[in-house]
Amino acid sequence: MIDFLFAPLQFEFMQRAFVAVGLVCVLCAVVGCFVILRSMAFLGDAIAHSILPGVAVAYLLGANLTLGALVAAGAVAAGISFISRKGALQEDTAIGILFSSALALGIALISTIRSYATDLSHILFGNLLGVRPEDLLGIAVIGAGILLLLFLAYRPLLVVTFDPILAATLRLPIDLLRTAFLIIIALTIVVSLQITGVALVTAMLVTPAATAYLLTRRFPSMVVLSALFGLLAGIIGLYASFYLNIASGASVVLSATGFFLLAFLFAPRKGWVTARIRQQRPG
Amino acid sequence: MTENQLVPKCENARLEFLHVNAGYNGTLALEDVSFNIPQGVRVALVGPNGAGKSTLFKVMTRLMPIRTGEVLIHGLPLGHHLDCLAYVPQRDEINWRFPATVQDVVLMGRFGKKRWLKKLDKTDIDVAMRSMDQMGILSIRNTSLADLSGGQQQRVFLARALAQEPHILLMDEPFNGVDQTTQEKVIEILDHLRSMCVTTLVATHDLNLAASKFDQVILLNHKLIAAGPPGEVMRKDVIRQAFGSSALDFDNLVVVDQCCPE
Repeated sequence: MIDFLFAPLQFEFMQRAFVAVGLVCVLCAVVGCFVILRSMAFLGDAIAHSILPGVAVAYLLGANLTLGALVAAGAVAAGISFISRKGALQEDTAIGILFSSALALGIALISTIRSYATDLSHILFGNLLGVRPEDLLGIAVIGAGILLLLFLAYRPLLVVTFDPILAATLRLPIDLLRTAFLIIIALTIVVSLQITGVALVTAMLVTPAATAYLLTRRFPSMVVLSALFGLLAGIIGLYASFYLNIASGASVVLSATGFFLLAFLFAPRKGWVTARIRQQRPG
Repeated sequence: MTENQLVPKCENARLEFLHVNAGYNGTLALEDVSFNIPQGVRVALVGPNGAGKSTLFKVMTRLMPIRTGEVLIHGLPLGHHLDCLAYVPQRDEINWRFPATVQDVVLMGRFGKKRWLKKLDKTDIDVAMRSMDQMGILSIRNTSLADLSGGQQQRVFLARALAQEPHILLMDEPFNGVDQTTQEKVIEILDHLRSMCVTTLVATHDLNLAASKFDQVILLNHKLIAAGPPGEVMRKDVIRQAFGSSALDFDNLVVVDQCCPE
């Protein structure tokens, strides 16, 4: 058993992978609590996909990939709020158009690169085993920054998430908070890029938070549980990836899905099976 | 803390709308609306569906900008007075699946008085507890939001508004779909607020309640149709002017035929 747990850790790249997956999964899980309660899962997905052309352009220009991703994420977030604010289209329609167009643009750009297949798959599905020490530093610094920001603005963010009208009567800076939260989502997705890739990052934002939601009645405990599920999913997923030889990003996401299914079926109050059992034995 | 600290000063306090125009895009939801309400008065806001009642609230909470005109509270433009307003939303405006207990929600009413990182202190807890007590929900303070009945939901948000210690309280359709007990509780709380000199503006479909339980009635249909004591405003010809063809006339009785918004 000890051997089973320690065998992967003799490789330096695996040690880095474990630290990276832990950091990113906890970060995504915490940010995800706000995302699902504000019904922004679809928006998160859109930002993730829209990062692709930014990364591609940065790659073609030989510039910093993270910077390219950030610029693209910011542009799409602004585009969505511009198109839907004009009132011409529903927000989900605006998101649908922008993110599929961005994805297509990204693929078009990347297809001009010669090593097309490998690079694309790293961007789409992550490259957890290729995490370099400097990547790790970047993830740690940005992740800590985001968590600090969430801690500082916890109360106003909670109010805006729950009841924007109360936020207005309390004179909270609603627009600033909305923009700040969009930037937080974008940054979270960018640092998660290498771990889960563009295609799977939404899962890490949404699934642990949804799992925690099924198990708690109060927001603070939802955040703690979500972080815990995120961390567990990351670690279990990485072991599974090592021993079963499956893609690491997918294996992490599937572990998170496993936890979600358990909660969905057996959660004490909201579980599907538990509800059925309660119906059988009234009282 | 003493009861006095809760009571705002009555002097020099009023709410004024001066030729207010507001609305999105081309259409004006409020057109040249002017009225004047002294502090501590209970006002019913009445008008057909889509008459601009919610817009009026949105303007006051600064969720919708004013095109032209001015809204003055205590004689000063909106935004000058911290924590002056509290708003009790319609029940369908709230995400009832949010993971929070009754007490969590009521305590949010205290966030405006605090800097972002400052802990809630004993005063905040006391005020929240008293507000819940007044609304008769102290015993269910650890219940989750998702498990409340319609009447209880309404009371939770009234308690939160009380915890804000407002000078002006806005309520959107508080009598819609609640039980008799809650309706009486709301009226009781309105009496209590009047004794504390809090101005209350209540949007309601219930013309009967508007005529019997309020000091003033504002009749709105984009423009201001009438404002004043119920005896002056709730007259056949005035009502008909506001509600148009949906007002049916039976001798001395005017029946307003409109579907509930839900």
